[in-house]
Amino acid sequence: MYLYRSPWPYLATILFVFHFTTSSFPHHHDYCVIGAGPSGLQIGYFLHQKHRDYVIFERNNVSGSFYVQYPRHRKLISINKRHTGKTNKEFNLRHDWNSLLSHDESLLFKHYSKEMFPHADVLLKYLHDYTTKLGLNVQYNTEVRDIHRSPANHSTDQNLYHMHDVNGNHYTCSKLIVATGIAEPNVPDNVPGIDYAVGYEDVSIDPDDFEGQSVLVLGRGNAAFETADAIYGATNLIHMVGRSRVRLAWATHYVGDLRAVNNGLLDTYQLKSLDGVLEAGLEEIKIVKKNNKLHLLFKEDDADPADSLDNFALRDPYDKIIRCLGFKFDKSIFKNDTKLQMGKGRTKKYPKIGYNYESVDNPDMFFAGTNTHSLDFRKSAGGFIHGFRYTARSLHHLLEWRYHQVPWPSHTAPITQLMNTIIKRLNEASGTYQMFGVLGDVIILKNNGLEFEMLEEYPINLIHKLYETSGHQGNRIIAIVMEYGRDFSGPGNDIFRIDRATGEPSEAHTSNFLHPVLYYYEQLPTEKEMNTKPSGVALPRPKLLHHIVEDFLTSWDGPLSHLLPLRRL
Amino acid sequence: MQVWNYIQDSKHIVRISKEVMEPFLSGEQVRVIYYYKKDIPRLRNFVKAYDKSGGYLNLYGVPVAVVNCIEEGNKVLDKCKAEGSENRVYTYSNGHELLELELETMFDVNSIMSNILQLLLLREVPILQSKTERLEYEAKHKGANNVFFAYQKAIGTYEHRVFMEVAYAYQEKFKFALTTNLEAIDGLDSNMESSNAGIWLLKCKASKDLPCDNQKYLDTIDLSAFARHVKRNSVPPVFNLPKDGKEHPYTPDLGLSVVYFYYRETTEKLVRNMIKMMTDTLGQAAWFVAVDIEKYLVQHVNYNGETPSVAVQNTDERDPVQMEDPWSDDSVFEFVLDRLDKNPRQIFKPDDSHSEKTEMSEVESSSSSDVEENMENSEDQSADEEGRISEVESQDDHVAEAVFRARKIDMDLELVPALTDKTFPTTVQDKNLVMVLFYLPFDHRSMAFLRAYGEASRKLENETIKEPLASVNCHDWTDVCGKENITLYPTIRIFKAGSVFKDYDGMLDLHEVVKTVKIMAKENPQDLSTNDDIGHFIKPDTEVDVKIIGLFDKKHSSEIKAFKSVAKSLSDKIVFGINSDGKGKEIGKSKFGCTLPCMVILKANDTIQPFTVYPAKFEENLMKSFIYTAKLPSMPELTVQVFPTLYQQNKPFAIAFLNEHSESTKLREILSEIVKKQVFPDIIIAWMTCDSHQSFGCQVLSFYEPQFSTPALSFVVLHESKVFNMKVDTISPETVQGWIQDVSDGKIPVSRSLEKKEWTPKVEGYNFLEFIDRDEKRKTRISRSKSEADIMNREGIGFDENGNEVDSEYYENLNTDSKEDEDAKLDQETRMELFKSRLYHHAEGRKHGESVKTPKDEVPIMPVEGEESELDFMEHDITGLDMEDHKYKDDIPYVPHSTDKSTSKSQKSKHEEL
Repeated sequence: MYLYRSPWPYLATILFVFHFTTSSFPHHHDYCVIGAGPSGLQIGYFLHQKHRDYVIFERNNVSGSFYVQYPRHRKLISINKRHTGKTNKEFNLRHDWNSLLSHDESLLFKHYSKEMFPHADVLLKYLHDYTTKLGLNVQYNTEVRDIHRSPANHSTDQNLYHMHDVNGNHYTCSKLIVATGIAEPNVPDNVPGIDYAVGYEDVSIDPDDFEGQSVLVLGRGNAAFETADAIYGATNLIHMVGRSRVRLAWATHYVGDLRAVNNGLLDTYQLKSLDGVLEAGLEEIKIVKKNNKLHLLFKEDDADPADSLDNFALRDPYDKIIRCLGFKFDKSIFKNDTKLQMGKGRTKKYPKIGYNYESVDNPDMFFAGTNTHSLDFRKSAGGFIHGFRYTARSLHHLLEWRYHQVPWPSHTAPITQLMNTIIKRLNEASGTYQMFGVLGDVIILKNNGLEFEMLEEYPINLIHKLYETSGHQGNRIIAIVMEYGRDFSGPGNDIFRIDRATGEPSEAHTSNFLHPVLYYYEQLPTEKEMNTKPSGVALPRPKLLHHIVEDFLTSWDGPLSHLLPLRRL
Repeated sequence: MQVWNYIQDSKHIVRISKEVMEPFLSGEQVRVIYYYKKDIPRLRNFVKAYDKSGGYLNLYGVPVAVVNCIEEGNKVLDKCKAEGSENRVYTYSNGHELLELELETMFDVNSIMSNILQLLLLREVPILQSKTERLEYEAKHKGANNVFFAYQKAIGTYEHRVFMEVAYAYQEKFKFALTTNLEAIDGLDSNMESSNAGIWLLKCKASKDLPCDNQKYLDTIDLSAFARHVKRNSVPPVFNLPKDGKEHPYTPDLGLSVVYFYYRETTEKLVRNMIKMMTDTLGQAAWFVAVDIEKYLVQHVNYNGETPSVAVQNTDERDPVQMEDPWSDDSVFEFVLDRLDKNPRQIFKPDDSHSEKTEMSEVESSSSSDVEENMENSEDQSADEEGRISEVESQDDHVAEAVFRARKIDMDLELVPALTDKTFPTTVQDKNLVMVLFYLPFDHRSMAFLRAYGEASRKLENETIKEPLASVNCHDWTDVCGKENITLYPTIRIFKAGSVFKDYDGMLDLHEVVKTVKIMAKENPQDLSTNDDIGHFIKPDTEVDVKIIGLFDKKHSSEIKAFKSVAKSLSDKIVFGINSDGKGKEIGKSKFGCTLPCMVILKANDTIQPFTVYPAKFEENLMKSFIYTAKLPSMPELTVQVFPTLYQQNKPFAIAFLNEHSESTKLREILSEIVKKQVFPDIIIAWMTCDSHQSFGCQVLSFYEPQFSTPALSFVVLHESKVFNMKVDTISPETVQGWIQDVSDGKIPVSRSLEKKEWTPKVEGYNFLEFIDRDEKRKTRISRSKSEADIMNREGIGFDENGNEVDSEYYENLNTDSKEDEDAKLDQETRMELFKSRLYHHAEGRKHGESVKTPKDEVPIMPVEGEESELDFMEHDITGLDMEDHKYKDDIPYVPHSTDKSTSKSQKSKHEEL
């Protein structure tokens, strides 16, 4: 128990003091990280390593509290591949989707579970160990609120972010890193009767509760299928309805799409076992309760279900409707007048940010983790641990240069080692592999081409501002980006088609699977070129382009197919 | 559909009735008849093959026929009445029945063709059963004929058919024989266990002893390749115009360039000698034509009338190209070899161009949209592209090539522990001295050196220091190498007592590594406390060529400190010895003429300057830079090993090119004197061996001075690309020294400027931007049509566009259509040619069937399109045919053969399924 005390008098004092000096705030940090989930811990680790003044606020009493509740059926769908047959630790990270980056080898997820798809509790244990073993500065039970910015003015040359917790403690920091994830259930406000539906967040995980019932699931994602999978043995039937056609991850290469582990229902649908999957937009429908049954109707229909179209696929009533419509970014932590634009279209659940992870509205406010997924939504892995652990590192490198004049880490070597360096990265690098099309290796040619400098995992969309963002000068550069073939992915395409793979080095540009592409520029692309490049293209038209033919084993070390055409460059 | 309908629809099967039976059988040529009584299994398949074979056999004057026994008039024929005749095929000659062949052994074109041809050529192509028989046969043709002798695993195979077809065409030029018995090829090439067939040319014509010389046929056994081979052997390697005829027989289809030598009476001998040399060295790499221009009117456009002269005509050229350089052995060879390299169909190179081509065409045709595009583009372009691909994708890095070639030979790395993340730190910590090689498995230099490194470890096996060499694979242990900040591969890092001493900076060479370990294993500097120690130390040592001794008095503490520090930092390269209590005073004075403190660089193997006394103050940096140059041999032989160190000094070179003759020795002695006297301290005086045109020294010299003679002296300022060549007619100490002096004073004009060249890629890579642009264009122009791949995607492999399963035969056709077509056409052309040659040299007593009129008319249109193409050709290349099942008639000596029964059985059952 504690005595409640209004924060206001205290706050006022602080605001008053602010005008004189920032450091006089009792709770000031250079960096505030909000959220001790995987991304908050990851960025915290890098700040910790560089001895920056930082704090991680966590509203609950554990790290990764999202995973206390989710996934509801407790099975993670990120793979925990413990063996790859290789000892290369960097390479092995390509197949480890749960570990965060650190120097401590005991903090690899393979030591925590033998399951290919581990139980969510294991992740909690892991995140706890990650926090404690690395000594990260996490302040638990601190739910910060009313975040707002006091802009730079003549007496202070920097922005200052203010927030306070429920205990009335006031915190300030110069840089804010929002790592809150997207944890607020998405409840559409344009579907009348949506309240009759039970949300994924509350749905019972006991199949007995669905014994002999007809169930409708709203949504098409992994949560929807996870729920359906768990109960379909008990139900009469399960119908699923969603706007888009089912996207199977193995067809789209996007790990956020429906994963094979959850797709049992597709079998029974396709085999006409009563269960079904339909495409329809939710904005056209309403939910009506009649005789203790739930009916799905078009909005223009009368209230009476009996009058509806007689061949409407979902005309029969349901006992339960479950809402699995995903999550969205929680803006409630910000003060009402803090401007925070959201993305447009399919990224509307994410805050709008630049390629440097900075809020477009608020300077010195950055985002880390799954809430940065707008940059690579439905593309690479930026919304998932195995992706954002790298973007968090990139963010940290950007911060180091911008605020502390520490250039992006690099190494320089004579040009004769260029081939070796490139081939080595191609064959082991995990960051550019997971964050394909987003992070790339940048090689700066120096000293009249006799030397080169290698910057790893650089956000290639910032390449036109190479110096401003990395601290490295250079015009003659090679950017190495992993890409899928342009015609390849997509829910409609047959990814097992006969001509899916090419083995001819001279046809490498038609490679469909993930393969390295080298862009050579003699002048950095301009901002205009960056902004006007066609969609689906990683970088603007370079001076020279090289594709390395895809390889089934993802090891690009064939002396003739892979190495030789590269040397010719 | 009834099989009879198939027969009616067939193209080459003659349908005969009782009435025409007698005239049909009366011809001398072999005839083949099948008596049709009813539908039986496998008959349909047989009819197909029979029809097709008929097409080919017509070429050989062998008609194939069917008698319909169901027709009333035919029922009375003996064979129609005979029981089981529907399971046999009957052959006739001169109205007599020859031999009946079991239907089940006639399941495809190959087996039909080879059996019939064998029958046809029973006397001409005997089947020999043993080595004795073969040697008898050789004896018979010794001094008269060359023999093509084949081993066939079984009768009725594709290879057998090819051999028989070619034998038919060339029976006048060569003798042919075959065996199915491995024993009979004893002494030829016994490695036939896994092969279906082998062919040898037994050169009995020129043989005086038995067995005749033999040469194995190495190319693939198919009709066009083998026919070409035989044809090539049927013409002489050298042709004399006009003595041997008005036209030489070397047509372009033989695939070799023609080398013309022009001579007149006065130059004939030169030309004859040259031809002899060429044929001796090049063998069958080209045809040679000797043209007597006094008796033969040369019509070559480019020929200028000179003799002796040489010209080469490649297979794709209309006229020969004449050599422009003056005639000499070297120039002729160089010219000819250079020109031969450009021949598109040079056969003596490994002939994989064919397979590559077909692969490519498959790739091209696999994407449907390309088809039209290809038709639009000229064929030249695709040929260009092909050349480009093989250019880009051919290895031209010698190191990479060598590593690749050696990959199957295991490296001996037993004594080079491969360290891991766990063992690397402990090894470094525990060992007093260890050199760790950090390498990448896909780096060719790394891998080339790793092998030498392993050999070095073996050489150090018996040294006191245990396992001084270790390695880390930076691809397996990227973390270990990352922590060590390795960015160069390979890196050899020397660790002493747990910490980094330095990175090895010597040559990546077995002996250098061994030497370094040996030097580093020694105490450095060695403490030479007695005069004996000092005396022993300064004695020449075979193991190390450079030693440095420091002689000090007790009072020289700062000098001693500097010396020790220098010794430590160079302890991987040079052995140091020190005496610091004045005992070395006498020795220093008497041996080296120095007073204490004294440092002497000893070079045991340097005869000109076996020691150098350090002349300056004892400061570390000065000492080091002095040692750096003083340790070099004073007048080194320029080799790949020493050149980098010398080059780094940024001084001009005076290079003598020497051979073993006295003039060279004289020049060398003069230069030694100059070195000894240290007249030119700022010039590196070195020498190279130039005793033959191939020697490295001569190659360098010819670059400086094309018209050189040995000895020679060149003054080279590499950094200014200038070369000065001395006129060496008068060698004396004065002229040499004076000339060098004059050059350094700038009094002599530059003889030659070296060309400045950029270090660019040898071959340009693929321009993917261009490719993409081209593809984009193509996409917009051509809408995708239903391609086979599309169908396969939708319906699955082995299904047609309606989703019906197609038989594998159809599918294979579909897939390899273009290739099949091509092959079939090729074979057809070859066959036509073979046939013409056969007509030309027609054997006595053999006449063609009545239907045959002119050679041209005889050639039937082969069923090369559609699903009837040459499939069975390919499918049954390993087929046995059980000759024991044959019935033997009359007194024709047909001998049963041992064949692999299991193969033939399985083949048969396969066919019954079909």
